[in-house]
Amino acid sequence: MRRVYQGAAAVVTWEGCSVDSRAEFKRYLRDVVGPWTEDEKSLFAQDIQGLATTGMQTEFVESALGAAPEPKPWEIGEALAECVLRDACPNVCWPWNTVRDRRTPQASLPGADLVGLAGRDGQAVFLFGEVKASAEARVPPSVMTGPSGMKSQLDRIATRVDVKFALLKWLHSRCRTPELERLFDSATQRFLASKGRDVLLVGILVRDTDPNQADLQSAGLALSRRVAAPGQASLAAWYVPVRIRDWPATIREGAV
Amino acid sequence: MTPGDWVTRPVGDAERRRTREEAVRRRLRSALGIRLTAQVGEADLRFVIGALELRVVRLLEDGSREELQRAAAEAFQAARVLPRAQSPIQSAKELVELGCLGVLGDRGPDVRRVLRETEMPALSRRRTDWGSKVWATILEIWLRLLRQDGWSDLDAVVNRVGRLREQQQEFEPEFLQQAERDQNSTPAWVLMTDYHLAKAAEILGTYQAQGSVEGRFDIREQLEAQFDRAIAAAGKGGLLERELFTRLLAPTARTIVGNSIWTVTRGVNSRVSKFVRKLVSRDQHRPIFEMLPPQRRALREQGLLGSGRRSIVVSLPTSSGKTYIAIFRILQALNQFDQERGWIAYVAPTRALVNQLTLRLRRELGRIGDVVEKVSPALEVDGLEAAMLGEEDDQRQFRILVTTPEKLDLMIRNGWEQQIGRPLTLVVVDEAHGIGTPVRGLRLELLLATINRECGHAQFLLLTPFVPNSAEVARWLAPESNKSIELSVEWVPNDRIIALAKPTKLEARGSFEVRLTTCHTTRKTLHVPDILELGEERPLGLSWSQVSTSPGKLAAATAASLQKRGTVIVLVDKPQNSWSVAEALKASDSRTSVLSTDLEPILEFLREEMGPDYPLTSMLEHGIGVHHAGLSDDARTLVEWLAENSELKALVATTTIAHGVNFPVSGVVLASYQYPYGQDMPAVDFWNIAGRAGRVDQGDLGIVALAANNAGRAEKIERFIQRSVGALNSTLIDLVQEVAVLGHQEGLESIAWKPGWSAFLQYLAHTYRQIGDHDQFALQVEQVLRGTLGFRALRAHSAWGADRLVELVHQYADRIRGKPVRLVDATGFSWESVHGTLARLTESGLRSVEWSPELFDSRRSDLQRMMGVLLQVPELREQLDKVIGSHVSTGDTLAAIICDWVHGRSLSGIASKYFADPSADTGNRVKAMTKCCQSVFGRLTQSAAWGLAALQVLTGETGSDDHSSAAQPTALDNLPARVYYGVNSDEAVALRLLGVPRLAAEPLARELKVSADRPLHTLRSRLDTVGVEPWTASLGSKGAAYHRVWSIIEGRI
Repeated sequence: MRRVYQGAAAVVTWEGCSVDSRAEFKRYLRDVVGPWTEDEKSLFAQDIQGLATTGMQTEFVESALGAAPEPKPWEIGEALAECVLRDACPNVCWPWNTVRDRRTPQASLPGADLVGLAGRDGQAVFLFGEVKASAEARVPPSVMTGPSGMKSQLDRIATRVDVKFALLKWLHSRCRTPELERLFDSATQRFLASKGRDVLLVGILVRDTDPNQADLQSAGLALSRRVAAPGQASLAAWYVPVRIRDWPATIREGAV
Repeated sequence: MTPGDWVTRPVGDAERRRTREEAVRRRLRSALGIRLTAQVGEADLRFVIGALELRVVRLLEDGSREELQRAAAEAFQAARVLPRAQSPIQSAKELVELGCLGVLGDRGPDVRRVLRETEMPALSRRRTDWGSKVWATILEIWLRLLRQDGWSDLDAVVNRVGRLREQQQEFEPEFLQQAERDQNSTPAWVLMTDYHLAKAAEILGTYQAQGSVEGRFDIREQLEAQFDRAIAAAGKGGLLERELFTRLLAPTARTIVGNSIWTVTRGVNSRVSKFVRKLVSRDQHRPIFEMLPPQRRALREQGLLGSGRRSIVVSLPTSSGKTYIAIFRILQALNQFDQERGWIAYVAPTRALVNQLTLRLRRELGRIGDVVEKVSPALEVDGLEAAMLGEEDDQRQFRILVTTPEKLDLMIRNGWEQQIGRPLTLVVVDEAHGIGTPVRGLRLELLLATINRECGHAQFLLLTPFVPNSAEVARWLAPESNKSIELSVEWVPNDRIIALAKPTKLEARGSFEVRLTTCHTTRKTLHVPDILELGEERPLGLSWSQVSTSPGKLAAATAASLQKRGTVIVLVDKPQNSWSVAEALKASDSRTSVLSTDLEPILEFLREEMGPDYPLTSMLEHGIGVHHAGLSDDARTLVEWLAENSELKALVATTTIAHGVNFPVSGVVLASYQYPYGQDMPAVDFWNIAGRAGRVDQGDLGIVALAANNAGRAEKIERFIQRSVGALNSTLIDLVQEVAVLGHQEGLESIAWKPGWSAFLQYLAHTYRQIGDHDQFALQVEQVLRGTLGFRALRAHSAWGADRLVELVHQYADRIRGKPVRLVDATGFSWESVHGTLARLTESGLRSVEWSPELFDSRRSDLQRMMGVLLQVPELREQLDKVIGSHVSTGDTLAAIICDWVHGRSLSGIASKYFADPSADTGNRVKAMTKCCQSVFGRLTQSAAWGLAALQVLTGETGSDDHSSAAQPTALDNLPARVYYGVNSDEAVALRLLGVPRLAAEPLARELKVSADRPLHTLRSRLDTVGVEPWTASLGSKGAAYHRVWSIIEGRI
């Protein structure tokens, strides 16, 4: 990836990166991101057997689960973000595959697309993030604005303590190894000592358009007024050479 | 660093303390309806609560049970004050989560209280969307499982889940088809999660109701399977909220199973199982599904059930369900000695407690067929009691006998275990810290020592509030097989504050208001640094000069400000001071406009018993009760009943109220922290009284306020509160100090007149008689003394005192050698008193007096001489002297009072004849009645009945000591009982034993043609079935009121 623009305000940084090699990107989508999106939900036979022990009918639930579609572009976007951050940032750790096990958008306490731990200064902080994918020509695209746009969602994570605590509890049950537990405890200490401010917020925008720093700038500036030190926020826009609507097909190729 | 420290350290102790205080502040604000400014902002509060909840989650994975419990309790105590969400669904979810924290924090009773006091969120099941409908049902059923408000909640759980199954076909297809069309699998995962939560609720609800699910007992495993699947489904569906919810619910359900009465009592024995089935049965007004934490810990974790230990001391705070602990131990003992038809003695210190416990145990154990009886505290076994004790019919014979320690002592020393023909297998001692009180404590200690020595099957269960040396006490009775169960410190049934109530002068002339400041204490009481302004200016119309000079007035003003929350007890130091405080409280209220159906007959009864102008009746009309030794027994019972049934706004009482009375009070205000003669109340008594404020099933916060009308008093009170509870020591140790001043020629006989020594010498005489051989006794002196708690401590701490005592006991044995010491057991007097009394009987020409009911009539002169003799008996003298007010040697007045009492003269009549100042105005009449009741109920009936019973023994005495048991009671043995009960026929005595008020007993006995030869239980059944008619037939218009009052006194209402 090649950086094409960058900016910063207070504790918020943002940058735009362009992916030049279409073939390389397709291969990455197919070989790396694809398996990440494989849906365990298709393995639900056991769940249905278990459901039968409740005395409820299983027929319609089984049918609804069986009809689950292939991953949607936004789901692939989230997987892409996780994979890239994992591969490119050795200090980032995902205790769990958050795409396979993503937080439901319908919940009254919405979570975050990305939940993990990031190393910092020999310790760890919690990483919470949102991922958006947009092919829209408008700059910034509408996925960045509005009540369900990235700006609002990051703002909500930054300011709502109940959301952060819920994410912490959720993550805790997934930190099963001693190493993950150590990182979790370390991040918890920083989080609590800073009254919930010392976290890393990440926003990833994936675009199949030409780079434009206006995609991130207003979100970055807005966020800089909401995120206080020692917290940090980092926004990135990735401009990729494969059209978003073609991602499922690209991954499908890999599956063949 | 423990896992929890990762959370608490960065938050910091100061923040946690601020959060705790803020939570207390908010609870006080709501409980007292006062202004208190928040000191911690909403965001900061929520942040710390979030952290505390995170700690719980952290500890659920890998914390110790104790650490988890503490963490969850802390989170619960803070989170309970957060405002509820607007949305019913969100509010219900928050309540379930709060309930989970409470259950995990061992605050189950608080959870139930919070949920019962909070209106169930409007989770309308008319929601059309199937997903929402299911979720609303899940929240509702889990709220009900946490609340457990009787069978209706458990039934609702099972019904709601059943209805979900019925409605699934109707609503689910359309709901999921829409999701399919939207290519959205999430709703299917949500439903799957929720169905597992529904099934888990059904399993838990069924278990709570039946003790098994489909004949299986692996409840935890069944639940775990459902929760694991729910968590898996929530995970796969990406349902963050559902997953966290389920992860909290799963350990909560496990804890509820562990707390269930079924789990706690499983596999003990069939009697226990049968009893538990009754406790949870549908015909219970308040079925019990769960054991309180102390009960659970005592019974299961500390091994009280299934324990073979012979001596167990359970230290429990007030109101923590100790009677159930005792009942389960009783059931175990009954089962253990079922073949032998073993019996249990349950001893309690006061007549009121004996009555209360009898009713309670009869209610609880009667339903599984175990007969509970009481014997009166009168120190003689009357003919009716003897018949009851000797009952041979298996179905009718008592298995549990409730009485006072003194009566049991008399029975044991007179061979009643042998006469009953069945073994005493367990002695339950309620309020066992009484061992530390002078005279009565020593009697109790010596009773236990005697039982331990002589009753081969006897085991012991001692119930005390917290005492620091309970293990030592447990060891005393069975060094090889004992257990001390300490539960006082960690658990309180209800949060409470201990506060100083101070008057603060306001600008207007004479104006003031009461302000509370909470105190730090050694117990887990709540504290806030704020000053709590109760807000009412000049409560009760009192003035600054009145309250600043009178703690009683200040207490009344404080109670007036607190009583809107529920009944408040105001404690005064002596009966005389109760009326002015009650009068002040009465002034604040207009008369209750509509008297309850129960108050009317009570007032009618009291007017009849105490006189029409006795102020208690008008106080009660205003919702103000008075309770002290200056009332009749029946009047006190009725006042207690009114308080228990929330018919009183305030109750002005002396400290006698503290002994185990089961009042639902929201607050206690102490006008005084001292007893009548100016000595400070012992710490153990103070905490016992403080424990009355706020009950397990009553109110949110208990308030204990001490009236501090000036700075000096405030300082003294603070010092008083800080005192720690002392060890439970035998009073024998203090007693032995007295032998130091004895001259070389003086033996124990020279101090036999002292009540404590009399008890000790009787113990020696009894043991001497039991051993039956002078030389053997001499050899065993040290061993006999070691049977007491006191001597063991004495040996350890004062070798000189122990050696001196042994020497004196040897001398005393020489002194009583060859004497008819069985008379000591038969009379309850020391040998010295027996000897002196025999001489005085001879001098008075009473040695061969005839015993007949005419003593109360035509032969009153004989009774006068008898009372004259009794006035010389050291064991009785003090009490009898107090009745007549001075030390006079003739028994004329006593005999006259006794005759009037036995002949049914009203209390007001006796008061005005014997206890009134001749220039009586109303105030003096009250004083006269107070003194009359104190004398008659507190002294005369007990002492005179005891004395007469002793004289009966001594006048029939030949002088030889044949080592046989005391003579069997005969019909004439009921003469002392007539004095005790204040009636003049055996038939009326029988009715009095069954709780019939004194003035009703004679006429009712005639109406019912009662025969004193019939067993008591047949008369009891008859009274139960005859209804009100014979009462009105025999008593006229007041009959209905008397019948109602009897029903109340006997616990039939």
